[in-house]
Amino acid sequence: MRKLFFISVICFIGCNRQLDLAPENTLTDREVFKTEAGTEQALAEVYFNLLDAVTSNIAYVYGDFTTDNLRHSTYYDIYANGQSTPDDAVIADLWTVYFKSINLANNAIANIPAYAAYPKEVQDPLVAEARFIRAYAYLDLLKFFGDGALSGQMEGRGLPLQLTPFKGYNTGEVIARSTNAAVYAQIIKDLEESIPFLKDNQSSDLRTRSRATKGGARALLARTYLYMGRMEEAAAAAREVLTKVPAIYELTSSLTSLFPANPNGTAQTLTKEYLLAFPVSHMTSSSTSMNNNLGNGYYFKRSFWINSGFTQSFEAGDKRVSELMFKGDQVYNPDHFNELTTFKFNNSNGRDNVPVIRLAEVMLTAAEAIAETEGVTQDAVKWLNDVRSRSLPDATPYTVADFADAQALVNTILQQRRWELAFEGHYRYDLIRTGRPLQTPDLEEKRKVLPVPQSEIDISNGLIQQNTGYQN
Amino acid sequence: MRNTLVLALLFLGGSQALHAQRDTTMRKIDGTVKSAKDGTVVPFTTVKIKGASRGTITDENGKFQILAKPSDTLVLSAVGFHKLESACKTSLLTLALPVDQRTFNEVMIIGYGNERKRNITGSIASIDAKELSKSPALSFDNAIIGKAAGVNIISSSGVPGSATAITIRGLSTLNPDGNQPLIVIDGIPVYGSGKDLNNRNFNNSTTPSVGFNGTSVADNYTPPQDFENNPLSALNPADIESIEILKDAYATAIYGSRASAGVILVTTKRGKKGAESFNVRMITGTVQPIGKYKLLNGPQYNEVYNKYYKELGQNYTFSGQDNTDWVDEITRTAISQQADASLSAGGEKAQYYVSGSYTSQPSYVINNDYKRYSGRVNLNYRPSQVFLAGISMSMSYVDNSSMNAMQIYRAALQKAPNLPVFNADGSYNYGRGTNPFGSMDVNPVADARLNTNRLRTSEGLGNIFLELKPLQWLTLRSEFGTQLSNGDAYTRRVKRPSGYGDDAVSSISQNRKIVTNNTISVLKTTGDHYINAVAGQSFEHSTESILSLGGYGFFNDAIKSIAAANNKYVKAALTQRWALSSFFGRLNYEYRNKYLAGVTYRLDGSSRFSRNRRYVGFPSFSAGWRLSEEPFLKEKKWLDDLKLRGSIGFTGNNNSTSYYGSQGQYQLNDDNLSYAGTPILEILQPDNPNLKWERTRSIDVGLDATLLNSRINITLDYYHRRIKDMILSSAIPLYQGWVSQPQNIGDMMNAGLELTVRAEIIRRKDLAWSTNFNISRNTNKILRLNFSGKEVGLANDAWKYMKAGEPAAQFYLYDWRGVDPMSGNPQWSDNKGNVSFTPPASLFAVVEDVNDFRRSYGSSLPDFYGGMGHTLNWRNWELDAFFSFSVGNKMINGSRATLLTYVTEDAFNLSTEILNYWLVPGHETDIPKLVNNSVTTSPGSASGLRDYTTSRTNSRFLEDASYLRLRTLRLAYTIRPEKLKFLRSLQLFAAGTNLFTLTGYSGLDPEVNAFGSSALQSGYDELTMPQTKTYQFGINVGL
Repeated sequence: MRKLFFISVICFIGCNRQLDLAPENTLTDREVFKTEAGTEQALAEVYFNLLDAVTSNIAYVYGDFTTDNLRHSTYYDIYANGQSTPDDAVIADLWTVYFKSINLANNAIANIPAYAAYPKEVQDPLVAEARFIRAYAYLDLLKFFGDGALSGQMEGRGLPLQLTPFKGYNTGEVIARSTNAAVYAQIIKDLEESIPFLKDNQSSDLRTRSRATKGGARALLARTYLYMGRMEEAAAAAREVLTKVPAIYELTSSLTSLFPANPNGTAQTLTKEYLLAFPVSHMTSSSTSMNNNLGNGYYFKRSFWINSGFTQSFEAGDKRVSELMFKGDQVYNPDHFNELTTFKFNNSNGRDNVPVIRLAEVMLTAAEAIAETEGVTQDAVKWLNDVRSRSLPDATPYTVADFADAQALVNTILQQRRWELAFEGHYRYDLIRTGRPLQTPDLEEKRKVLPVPQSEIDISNGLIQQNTGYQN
Repeated sequence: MRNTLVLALLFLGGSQALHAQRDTTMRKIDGTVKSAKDGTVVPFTTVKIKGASRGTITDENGKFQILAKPSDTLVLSAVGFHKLESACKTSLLTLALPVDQRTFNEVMIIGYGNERKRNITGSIASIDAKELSKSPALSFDNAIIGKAAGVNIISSSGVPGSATAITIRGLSTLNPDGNQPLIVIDGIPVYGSGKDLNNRNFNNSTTPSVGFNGTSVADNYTPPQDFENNPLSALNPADIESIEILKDAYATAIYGSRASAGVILVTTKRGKKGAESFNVRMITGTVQPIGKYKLLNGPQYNEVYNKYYKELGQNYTFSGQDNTDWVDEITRTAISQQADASLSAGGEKAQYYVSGSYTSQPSYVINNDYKRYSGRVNLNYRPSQVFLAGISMSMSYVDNSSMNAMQIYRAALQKAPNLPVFNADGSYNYGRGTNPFGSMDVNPVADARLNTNRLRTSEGLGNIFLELKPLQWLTLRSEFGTQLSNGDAYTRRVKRPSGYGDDAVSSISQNRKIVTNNTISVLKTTGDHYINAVAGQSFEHSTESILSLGGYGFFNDAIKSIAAANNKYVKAALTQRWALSSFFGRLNYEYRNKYLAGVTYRLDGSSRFSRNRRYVGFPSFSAGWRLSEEPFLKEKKWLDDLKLRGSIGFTGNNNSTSYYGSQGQYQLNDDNLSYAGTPILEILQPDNPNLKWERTRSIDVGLDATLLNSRINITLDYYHRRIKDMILSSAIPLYQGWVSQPQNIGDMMNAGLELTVRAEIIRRKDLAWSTNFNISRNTNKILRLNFSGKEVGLANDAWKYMKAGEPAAQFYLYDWRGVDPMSGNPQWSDNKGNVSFTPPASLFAVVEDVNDFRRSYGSSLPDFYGGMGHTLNWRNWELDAFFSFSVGNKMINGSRATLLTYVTEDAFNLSTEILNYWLVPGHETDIPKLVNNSVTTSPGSASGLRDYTTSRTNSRFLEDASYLRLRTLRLAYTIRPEKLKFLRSLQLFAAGTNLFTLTGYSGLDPEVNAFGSSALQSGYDELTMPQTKTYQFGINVGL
């Protein structure tokens, strides 16, 4: 009897080992985050998802087609008019895909310290990159969903602050939306705590331009403060970045090098002007090529084409018109043969890189924030001139005397900002934060955000509250 | 206790040696008990010494050993036999027991052993070979439809070798793929049914439809691109000796984590000692569909579409002058053939059963065939009393070229009838001719003739066992089994004029598993005590791999090899494994032939369970009381046997889980993409550590009675099953980063009653009439859900509805209120009594929750179901009729919906019913005017026109699909053996299947399931190929 017992026990242990079957095609958390290479690959997925989020459906183009920069097809009417509804699938997707990036970032943030078997000094920058991505995703979400987040309503409804990875869902364990202030605070915390660990330069120039760096994080911090209206901090953060000019960053003198013609969808260099861009043109494999989801809509002008009023608003001879606008398709869509579209996404298959943070933005942010806090200064005018002169080399640069007061300077900077960053998804948010009208001029303030997906409200039994503009 | 026994045996052995010379001494007697009727051995015979309390029972080979004095008298008793008293003068006895016609001599197969039927305290339905032989079905699951109480089998379609949905005692999980019972063949759990394992992807012949100006049908059904194979069709039903369906926890819990949906034990035939036979059976017959849709002819088609576009204000004309009946073009009366031969014999030491069979059962769609070849060898070898070895080996090869039959059938129903099959030049006409709309790229006849869609499955199933019997009451058994199942699927579309087609996919799948079972069994009677116990260990390891290649651009249509394609790609290449390590035990105890008790336990360790929840135990308990042995009933002449029994126990379900449990998993990006030079490692599923395993608690109370000289047998069961913590992927808050994740979403219960009656109404020399009847009722209720339920993600495929307090598998529909006779518009009710012309489903962008307009309309699973068989013997004639029925099951007649859909750019052919469209005010009809308010855009929505009149979420198409079906009718004539010179037996028979069906269902067949083996998703007829009606003629020859 005792012998029998031993036999069973031996088998019990032996068989238990037999039950540890490693998947052939998959890896587990423990294995992935054990090595630096595995962590890098998991982090690549986080970037990949952020790219997916930033370019998904309306995410990137929302900043332009709801303004007078663009005209759009009727499909986009409801988004431009503030008529979208809480059960809109596009909006639910937008919400979900950003939170997916946040969850993946949380996963890396939690799992690297838990499983890494490599030095802490290697771990820290990787965790910092994940925190940068989380901050980026939360800032974008605030732009879309934060009730009054861009117009200074810090106590308005922000977002659920989910800072740990998904580990199973127990019914009813739902967190409410934090205030805009709390979400901003988290973004700032993530950025400030990651900046010390982030690198100035990644292991290759392409990575420096397409992954989180000290410069990128500071630039995002500047953008965050700008959106919050905290101009002093915005100026400080932007100035930090500008100390790296020209060592790491530099305005690219030729606009067609910055946004190269890419008819064949081949890999295009990210110039020194980019602090962060998605290297879509480099992302290709034997079976597929990555598509930025923007090229088709712009090139064929079925979804978007440039508002002629916007084209006419430029100063005469501006290269941003002559070099960065073109007619695109002349074959398939006769309805809009004569309309112009942007050259920034000139490959019809969406094979162009997607700019996220450019030095020009940082310069204009610096200029604006300085003008707001310090008035008309040499510094502010210089950054403004730098950006303007590239596109209008023959124009006389502005001088301090050209501006009657700070507001006049700010207005000029904002105008320059609109021209420079057009079609890169900025203008809408600049309009809202400066209290100017959108494409639909009489749009109520509280409809300038999107509704929170109805399913979130349902599943939380109302704990997650709808934006005030969409409550019945 | 054990030591005492051993001592006693030693003592007795010793005394035997000591006193060998004297007649009054004990000596060892070896005996064999056989049936006086046919010489087969009789296991479980109680052997007692008259006047003493000592006794033993025979093993399964009828052998026993006992110590007795030569003057002693042995008393032998066994169920089904008369008592026999015999002197034991010699030490080697062969005793023939006279058969008692009154009782059934039955030993039942149970999990890891067997037991006298009268001692069974669980609920087990048994179907024997004779019953199976009456059905011409390809696979045994189809043959047992309606034959066992509590077992509801829905055959999915008329495609040969297509899957069935088997539910035992109601739904056991909300996972659409998790309700399949475990199938065990000769002790080896085999790969069962279910989409995961059996779906074969192929290129179907039609190109996806496109909307006209964005016109689409709301909540439409999309035909799948895959064929669900029925794995059970690899086993030839003629090789089956018996099927035991384990239903309650006491019977199933010994299979633990895989048993909550029930267990089906299949035992194949083995040679018997002294019973030699060689049997040949040949059958041939015809195969036809049981019905045909009434479709528009060419002129009618032109008329309807011209009228529609005219009303729409668009200038399109349909004027094709042909008149083709596409369904006739692709259907045929197929000829089926079947030939079986088996040889069964056995001597003292070795017994064998060898068989071979060929079956050809073509579908009624042209060029879509099904052939099966199978062979089996079962051997037993017993060199001595203590040793027994045996093997069972079977091989089968199935060549199924009807994977695409359903799509061809569908395409033929939908193809415009005003087009010809061939162009003037003799080539196939794929296009839409002069029709302004319609697919450019479909010709069902060409698809059937030219395309290849073929699945060749070869399957080997084998096991060997070794049995040692060191003591009379002790058996050690080791068993090793393996199953190898290879699928070789090839699908090829020829190049069509449109340029589409010209592609091929080849998939090789291999599933292989090994199983080892080691058991120790004890079978012992001492005095008033009877013990039948088993303890054992089992290990199972499965590897499932698939390799699938695709190619397109071939030099010509004759070249099949994908290697020759201009473009090639790997579609899938994956190997997955799982293992299960288990320990189990059972103790059945009987006291004084009257009181029964039992306990089982199984501990399962599965590689699919996460490491911290890897081992799960499943206990069960039972008790029984044979009232007929009590003095107050014992003398009742009319009562042969009466037993009350009850059981309670737990089982599990591991179907819901992925291969590697709930741990976080990552996989390299499918497309090998990298981000800035770093390969992308995608997350497949997040870590989900607090997922608990589903657990079913079953309670069963039953009664078995045998009355009136065994002429009536009644079995009555009540059961209650509660399933706790059902796992289903369901919505989570989106901000957590996932749309849905597996969760323990709720609890469910099934309760039901089952009644089985077998009766011999007439039992005379030349005339016998026996009948069997069974009926089951099951009520299902979801007890708890962690969300306030409407639809949940997974069930969305079939628009089923879940809500706590209501049954699962309910339809949840908008209320269609017919056609307004004044305006011809469809009317809808909003559930508050308001009737409107606006389809409520179109208001999704306007109202807060459009589902508030819907309500539940009952379930696709029946309230009652069962079967009834009659067998009439008169002289040499035997007439056998078997009916099955199902009451209260609802069905969405999606076929009707499809055949009334005219708004899309496909311009499909329609049912003649469309001709009743509303014409003038006052016209009472149920077909709305062609352009009506329910073909509309939705307010506030950006999408185009939608047709709400033919959506599947609309009560218009819900019908009661109750039916009574004459499943088989068979007339046989047996020639008297004395008239045969060279033959042992000869029987001629004629049989028909599905000869008539009584139903109120307006479609062709109330017994189809567009979702294959999923019972949860059942209740959709989507131009699903109806069952076949067959007429057969056959001959049985015995040598």
